Amino acid sequence: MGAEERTEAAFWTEQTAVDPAEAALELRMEITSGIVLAALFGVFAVCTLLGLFVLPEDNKVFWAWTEVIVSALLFGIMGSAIALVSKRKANLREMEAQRNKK
Amino acid sequence: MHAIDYIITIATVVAVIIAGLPYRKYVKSVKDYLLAGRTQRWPIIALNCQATQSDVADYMGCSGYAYQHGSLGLSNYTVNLQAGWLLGAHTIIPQMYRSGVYTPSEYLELRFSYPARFWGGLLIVLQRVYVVGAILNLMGIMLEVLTGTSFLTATIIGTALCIGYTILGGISAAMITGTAQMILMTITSWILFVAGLIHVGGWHKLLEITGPGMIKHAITGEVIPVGWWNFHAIPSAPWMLPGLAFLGMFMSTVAYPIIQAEQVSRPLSARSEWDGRMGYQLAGFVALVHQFAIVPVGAFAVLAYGYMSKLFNPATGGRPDAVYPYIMKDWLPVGLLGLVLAGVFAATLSTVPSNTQSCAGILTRDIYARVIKRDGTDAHYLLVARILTAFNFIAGLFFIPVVQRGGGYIVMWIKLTGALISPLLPVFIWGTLTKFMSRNSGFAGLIGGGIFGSFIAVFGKTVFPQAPLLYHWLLIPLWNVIFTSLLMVIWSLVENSIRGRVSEAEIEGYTVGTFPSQVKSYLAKRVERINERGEHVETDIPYYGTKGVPWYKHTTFWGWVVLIYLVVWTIYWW
Repeated sequence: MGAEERTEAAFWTEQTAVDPAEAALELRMEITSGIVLAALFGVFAVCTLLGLFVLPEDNKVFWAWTEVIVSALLFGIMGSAIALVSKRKANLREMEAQRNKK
Repeated sequence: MHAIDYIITIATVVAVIIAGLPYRKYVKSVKDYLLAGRTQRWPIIALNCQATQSDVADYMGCSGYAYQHGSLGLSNYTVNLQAGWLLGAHTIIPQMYRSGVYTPSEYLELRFSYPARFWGGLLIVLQRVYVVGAILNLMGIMLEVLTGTSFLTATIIGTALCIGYTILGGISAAMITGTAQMILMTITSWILFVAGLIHVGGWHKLLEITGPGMIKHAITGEVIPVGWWNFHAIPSAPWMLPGLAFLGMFMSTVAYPIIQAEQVSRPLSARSEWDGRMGYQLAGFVALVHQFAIVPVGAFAVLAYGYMSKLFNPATGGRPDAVYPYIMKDWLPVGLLGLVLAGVFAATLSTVPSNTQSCAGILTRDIYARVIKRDGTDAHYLLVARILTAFNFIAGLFFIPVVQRGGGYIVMWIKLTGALISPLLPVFIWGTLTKFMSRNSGFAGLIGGGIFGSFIAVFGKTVFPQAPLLYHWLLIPLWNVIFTSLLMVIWSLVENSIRGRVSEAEIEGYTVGTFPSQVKSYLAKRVERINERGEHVETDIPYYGTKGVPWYKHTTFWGWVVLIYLVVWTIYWW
């Protein structure tokens, strides 16, 4: 029991050393996540804007502003995700150039 | 629901399912997944802890709970969970990180014994499978209320989507679905909160009209003498001694960040012990922002539909958990309504499969591979895990009627926790805090506490009819934690006197302040990172422990900050 767990623990301990390949993989996953998030929130933002065409009769102004603000927020999240993707792509290019030099 | 709302919902479901596909190339095995994990920094840990904790049950369950029992549900997000994360960050998390253990049940074996791991694992699975059933039930209610489809059809749709998501491998995209649902639900819950405040005339007006003596029971006409905004008393049991209700609720929730494998795995994926602990103890602030706006929805429903109206009163066949979708349907306009439903789908699709899979992992690894077939191949265990995942789905479905008859999701959660799960809390806490607890005291505590809690829950009212404080469902977790703690102390006294105390070397690394031998060589090493230019950079954070960390970054300093905040907040709401 104990020995088995200790071996596993030692394995975990060893893997904390930073590996450039692992860092590159992490960047690629962040890029994928950013693209998926941007697409998802783009759809949400457009659909929320469409809600402006069918506002409820009571508190029309409040709900119109709410829909506009929420869709702006969602577009903002989409924009942040796109910005993150382009930044991470640049990071990845730089990192790979460094690795190739070595 | 309008066509636009349907478009948002269907687009979300499709996107969330497709989102899993790109990740398949990155995660080829469970091992890859775990290895890639130990790189996270503390802010990501804090966000992930809340994203993991939060699901549709927190929205519908907590607003339904607040509708029946007042703002005590708010204490879950403002005090109880935060206290659990804080406690975990200073007890079990550093010890698990140092010893390389990555599930709570494994820790139980190393600190106590294999029977403790076996039984503890089963209890954790039981609670998770209950959550699966509850979430499928809540999604069924949500779809039924918003789309007008039957509950059965809605539940079948929800279950089919979850199975499809799991088969397509979407589980690996949990990071995305979790983030999307957290953002969506935060936005929409605050919109609903603001809309509600405008509806009732502001926060002060809400406090006033839901204050003591302001609400009547919709069926009996009885005036409720307790307001909705106290931690120390609840509208459904105003006779209860002040503070006891809070303590009962506290004990039922504080254990969650300590015993749940998925929650504990977040800080264990940190790049250093410091990052894991900092992220864990600060996760409560994320929870506060994310979920503060939910509980007042229960009070809005009291004003909109009356207290304990037939629609939401469990005594008359109503469903308190339906409060949130009804308020959504009646108060939210087109577009925003679709967004909330999209958030619910994202939450369900990321939570249900991950719960069923993690339970299958516990059952395969902790029980099947240890007791039934020790020498199986990886392929064999993978097949068993897949079968058990399906089994957990089915078992979850069986919990749906239990949730519906139990008085709502949170009430049933507290009942289940009080009867069986709450003994896990003292076992983990006393196991890490003291070396005095004997090897078998953990298993004895789990079994003894389970028998005690179940007896009080089932027979308490019959055997002790004059003692409602003993058998009230809200207080059973509190009595069970006290009972289990005493039992563990007595058991340890007897066992230690017969067999002697457990040697320090044997449990080195598993109790607070100790380091296992393989970690000691790492104590002087600092976290190294590769910066954006591809260069290796050493930080001031050690891989293990907190030696050399400046005071303003120290986990203890921030622990005190969180503790002071918790005390001030509790006094304010008292």
